[in-house]
Amino acid sequence: MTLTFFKIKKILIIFTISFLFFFFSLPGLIFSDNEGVSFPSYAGYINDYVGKLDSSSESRLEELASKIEEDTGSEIVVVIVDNLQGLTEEEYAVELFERWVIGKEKEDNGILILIGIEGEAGKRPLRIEVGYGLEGVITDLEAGNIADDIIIPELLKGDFNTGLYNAIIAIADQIYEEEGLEPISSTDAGVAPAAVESEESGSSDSTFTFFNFVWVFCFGVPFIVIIAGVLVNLFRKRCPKCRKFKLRIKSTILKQATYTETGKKLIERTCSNCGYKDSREATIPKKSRSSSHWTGGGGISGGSRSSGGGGFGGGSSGGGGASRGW
Amino acid sequence: MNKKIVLGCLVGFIAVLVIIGIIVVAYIVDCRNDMAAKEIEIDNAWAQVQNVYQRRLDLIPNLAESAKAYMQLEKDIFEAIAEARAGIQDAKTVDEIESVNEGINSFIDDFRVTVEDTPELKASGTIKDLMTQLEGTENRIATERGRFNETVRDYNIYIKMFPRNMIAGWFGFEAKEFFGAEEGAEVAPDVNLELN
Repeated sequence: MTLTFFKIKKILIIFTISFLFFFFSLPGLIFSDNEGVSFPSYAGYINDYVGKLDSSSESRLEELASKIEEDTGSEIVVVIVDNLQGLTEEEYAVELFERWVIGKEKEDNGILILIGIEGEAGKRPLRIEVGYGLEGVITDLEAGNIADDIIIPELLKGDFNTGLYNAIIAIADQIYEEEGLEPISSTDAGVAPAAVESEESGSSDSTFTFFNFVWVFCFGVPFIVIIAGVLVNLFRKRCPKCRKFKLRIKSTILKQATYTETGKKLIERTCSNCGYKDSREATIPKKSRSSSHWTGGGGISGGSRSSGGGGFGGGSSGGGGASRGW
Repeated sequence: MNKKIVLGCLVGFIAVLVIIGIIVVAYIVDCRNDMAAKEIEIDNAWAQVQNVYQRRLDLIPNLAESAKAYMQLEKDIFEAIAEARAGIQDAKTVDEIESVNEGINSFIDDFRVTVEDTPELKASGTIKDLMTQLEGTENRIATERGRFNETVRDYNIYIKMFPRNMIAGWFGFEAKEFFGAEEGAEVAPDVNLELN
């Protein structure tokens, strides 16, 4: 009988903990930023969602971006979309940059070239967003010039490939110069396309300290249960006559329990201190078929806030760069 | 027999109370530390905001110089700039930093209007460069203000939820202010500098 009581108690406690945990962590999961705007998931360095680049151009650009990343760590990302869903180029670029965490975490050496193709001539959005770490290398002015002189003329001709390729080279040249490397040549010497490293950006840490609280609970509660168990056991050994915890208990099975009938056992107690003795018969409960052992523990899994689709190096930008209409 | 049972139960009961007490204290300490950490996030974001406002100030001399023939400049623009710089540095609240920048905001508005209305300026390469840089700093200001707002929102939500709101009260954590939408933002004239 006492065994089942403890089981129930344990179930109840674990349920309460889980409930409390979810109750406290739910609010954190509710809030999102730009509502109604769906940002694409990245596919690689070059992300053409409208089909302005044929596959060989795209691979060539991808190789170029990979090589630059290998040589310098800088991540240059291109995104071509239909429209910006009502956001300005600055808003869209900054948020996309944040979500994809472009650039290496400590160096923030990411660049995002964002092009939208819908709209009247002269009003279609183009923005080069420069990560914090590259603002000195690619200034706003330089970004603007690259947009005006290198990208836009080619876009107007319909040649996205050349425009982007030359722009990436121009940006890379600045970076390479900064790093003291030889400027990148315009013909890539057979570089095998490296796989895009997708590092999961770190989950937020605001749930970790709550986790500590949960661990305290997880240790404290079983601890209480154990102490309670020890105490009860202790009291079983208490001699009714002399009140010392010196009883010795011996139980002999008189009749085995089966699946259909209960059994009987004889419990004899002897106190080693005062010599008190007693005995009684007790029933052994029926055996049960499927031993439904309650397996404890289970899913108290942490709710880490995921930062939506980030797959690059963890870098960030501050709104530097230049926007143009083309 | 009764007394010893009662004593044993009491001891067990007190032990349980002590453990619960430890758990509660641990929770309170956790929350308080979280609040302090979030406050530091806000401070960091604030420093960024100050940064980008200062950066915009750096541009002002160039803007003034390039358009001085066409604009009515304040008697001593450099004094105004120095004052603004000190003001930004010392500003501790959203209201303070916005009022410090009011003069600068109207100067920039005047500048933009002047450029729009003056063909020579509009066609100038120097002006075009300056406008690019100006847009860059304005965008940075918008970005950092947005991020500051995020840290404030995170903190405010955290300290307002029950039972943390009580804990916040004990340790003196109060809700903080956001930046509102910039007043001049919607009326900035659309300056198109491309020669078609």
